[in-house]
Amino acid sequence: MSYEAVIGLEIHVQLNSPTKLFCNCANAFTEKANVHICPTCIWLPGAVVQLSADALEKAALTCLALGCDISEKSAFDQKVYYYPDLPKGFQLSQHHRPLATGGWVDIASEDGSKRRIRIHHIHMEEDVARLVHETEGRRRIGLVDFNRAGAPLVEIVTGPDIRNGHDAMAFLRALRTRIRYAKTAECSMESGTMRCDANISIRPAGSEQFFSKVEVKNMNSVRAVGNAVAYEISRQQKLIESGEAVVTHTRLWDPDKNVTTPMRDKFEGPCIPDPAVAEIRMDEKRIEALRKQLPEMPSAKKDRFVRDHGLGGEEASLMSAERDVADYFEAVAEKNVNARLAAQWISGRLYPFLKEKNREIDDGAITAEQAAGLLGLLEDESVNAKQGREILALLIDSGKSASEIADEKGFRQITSRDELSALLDAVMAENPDAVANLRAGKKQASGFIIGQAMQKSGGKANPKMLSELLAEKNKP
Amino acid sequence: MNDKSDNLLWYANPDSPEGINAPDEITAVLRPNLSVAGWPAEAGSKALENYRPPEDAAVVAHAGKAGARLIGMSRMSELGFGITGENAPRLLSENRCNVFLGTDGMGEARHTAALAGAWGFKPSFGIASTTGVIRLFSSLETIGIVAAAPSHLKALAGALCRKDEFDFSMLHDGLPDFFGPGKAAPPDEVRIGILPEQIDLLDESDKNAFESAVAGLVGKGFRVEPVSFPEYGNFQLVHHVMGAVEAFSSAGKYDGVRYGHRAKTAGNWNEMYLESRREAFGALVKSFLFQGAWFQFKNYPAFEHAARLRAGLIEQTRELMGRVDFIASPVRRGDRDASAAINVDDVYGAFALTIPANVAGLPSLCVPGLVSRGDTDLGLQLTGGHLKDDQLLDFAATHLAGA
Repeated sequence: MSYEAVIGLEIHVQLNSPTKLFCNCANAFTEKANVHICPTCIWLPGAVVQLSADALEKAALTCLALGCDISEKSAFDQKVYYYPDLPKGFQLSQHHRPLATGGWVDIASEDGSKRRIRIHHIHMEEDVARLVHETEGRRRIGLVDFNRAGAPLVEIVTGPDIRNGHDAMAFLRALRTRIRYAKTAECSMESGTMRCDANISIRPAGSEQFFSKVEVKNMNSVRAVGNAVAYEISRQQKLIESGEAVVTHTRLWDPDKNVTTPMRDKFEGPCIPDPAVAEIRMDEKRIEALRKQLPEMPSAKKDRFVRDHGLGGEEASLMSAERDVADYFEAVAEKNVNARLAAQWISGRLYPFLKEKNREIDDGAITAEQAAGLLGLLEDESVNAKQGREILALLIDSGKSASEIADEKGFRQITSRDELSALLDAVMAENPDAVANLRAGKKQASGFIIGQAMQKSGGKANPKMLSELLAEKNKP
Repeated sequence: MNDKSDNLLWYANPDSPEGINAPDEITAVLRPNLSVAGWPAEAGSKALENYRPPEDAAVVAHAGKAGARLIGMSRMSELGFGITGENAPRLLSENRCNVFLGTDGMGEARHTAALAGAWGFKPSFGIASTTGVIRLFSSLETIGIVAAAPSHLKALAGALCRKDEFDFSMLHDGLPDFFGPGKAAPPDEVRIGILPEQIDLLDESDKNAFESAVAGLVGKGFRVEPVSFPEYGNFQLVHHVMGAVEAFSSAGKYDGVRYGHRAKTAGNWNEMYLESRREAFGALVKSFLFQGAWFQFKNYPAFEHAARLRAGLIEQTRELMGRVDFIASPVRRGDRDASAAINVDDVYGAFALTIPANVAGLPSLCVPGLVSRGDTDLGLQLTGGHLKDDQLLDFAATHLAGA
């Protein structure tokens, strides 16, 4: 019998609001524990909660970026559980009345076909504290850091539409791209601003039934999600094939051993409405105003890059994958440069160079104007690719144009046909044997003569033009 | 109940000795559900034993700035549900202090005043900060001010009812002006309504006492008239359902684990939590919390229905307050002692006359000495229109002080 996996994901995304969800403490990571805290986020008696307007707006933008319908009314519940990361005994979460429902993300399946992953709902919730486990001598101790407590989260719950690890990874990447476009969250699994749990079950292929599911946690990268899903599918399949039942429980992904292991159960109580937190009301006018804040989404942008800028599909995907890159590309392409050359240089040279320097593409280190200037020099062959890379390195924070740097460094190529012809004549006169070999049909001689000419010009001669001129001069 | 002191104060301020130094000085005792930095704030519950807030409640800070000398804290009913076992009335009547600051979720401040023969005031909901106030009822409870002198009451009302950017429940528009010129109208322009449905709750002795007080008001020239409120019974119903749910929601935070009592169970973390709660809460509060739990877990639509009923009551009350300036009644019933209530029915029975102002969010005042049943002062309760707190206080201070 063949089986298919049924997988739903629950993704927690930390919004990039300046404050926490219910107080004015900074929503920021810091190494020092318990710095960003107040009576509200350490849940002292008498503390009052005040929903962050910015967090609500960013949560709603996230929902709209994923095609969800925002609920006219939503509300917070007390999600009751007892654990040291939540000493007040409940987490404020929108369990019964989530902020939004519906929505979807399209991905390319393993076979290249389009697959739509539905989003069941998105709700807001506060993050809990971070537990740090240490030892004090031989004694194991647990410490609680409340810096993260109360950070604004949205939890995105998908429909049971994912079938394998590839789909899960593709979904997470597409989701991340769309949320980053909305500029509402960083979405980094590595830094913990995006966390993913997977609910996995398997069933006979073609069946519509749902079987016991296993929840897998503790995956700290997109790849880890793919690996954990693949492992868990295989584990459950083996269990069923050996006649054992799959029991609903929670497992942890062990990235070192590449296995999932059972996790100790923690008490989870009910979710009960919290009348102390004001109900959220979002009218159509407000939702429309938010919708207008959303930029063109990546799939639409990719299509437009192909249509308007003549990019290939792969180039357009690369240029539309991140909003800041897309914006930069468009700013460069608007300056009358070859758009495909721009895409190639941005993805292959400029973006990796800035990353290496720990700079962002939109932080002004190399402006779109400077980049366009460099591409212009490359396009009219005033500089060659090697010189282009050197100019790129010198452009950062220089405030100079590519042309100025090319002049200062004497990088400008000799593109005058007369000048290059004279240069070739001189080299040929100095190397009669090579000329004879060339005329005898020995192709290596051509490379030797061009190399000598490049050397004689101090690397400034345009090699392509030299090659063409040499061929002309030695036509039979 | 905690009693850690030989004197009447549950907690005495080591930096400020007991005793009223001068009649003008505001010598205040606090209910220990108001946070004062470094002072215990156990709100009468083992669940918060040894909790010492890191900072003052906003209203406490305001009181200090207004010149109030805080000499300590009184004994308090558990989590402020009613006034069972409280000794603030005695502290006031024995002149250990001349002001008591607490909370009013169902009439506690007004009852304290009536029992002490003092003035007691519950402001409109949303004009005084609740930051740092350990409340049981999130939408029903405000601060409460009890003062021997109406001048102190008005001064503190003005000082305490100030904006607090951290409290989302605060209102921003149309706020009363406690420091402006007096707004007391002449007696013949003041219309006082009496609700027959409320008076029906009184026994004969209470009725006689109240009718005597009404006769006094008429004698002063006020226009006193009956105004019917057929849905009066819903005030208590709404308070009971919403109050229980809000109390259960609040008590979830006061877990008895992080501060205060922790059960010495050999079991696991979850058992310890549940056992700590079982041990920490007293019988009266626990039975009320169970009622709230039932609504939250099993019948939340009843809470939502109560919320809708409440909206209707507020609307009807606003309409009523368009026809009269104040509603008058006794604060308490002579045969119901709020300080001796031992079950939830006792509590609601004792506070039946004061609860409507909490449900409707209206300002309400206890005026002493006007409704007497034998030797017992029942207190005259005057309830004003929403955000007309200044008008209420000015009226009482002008026409009823010294009566």
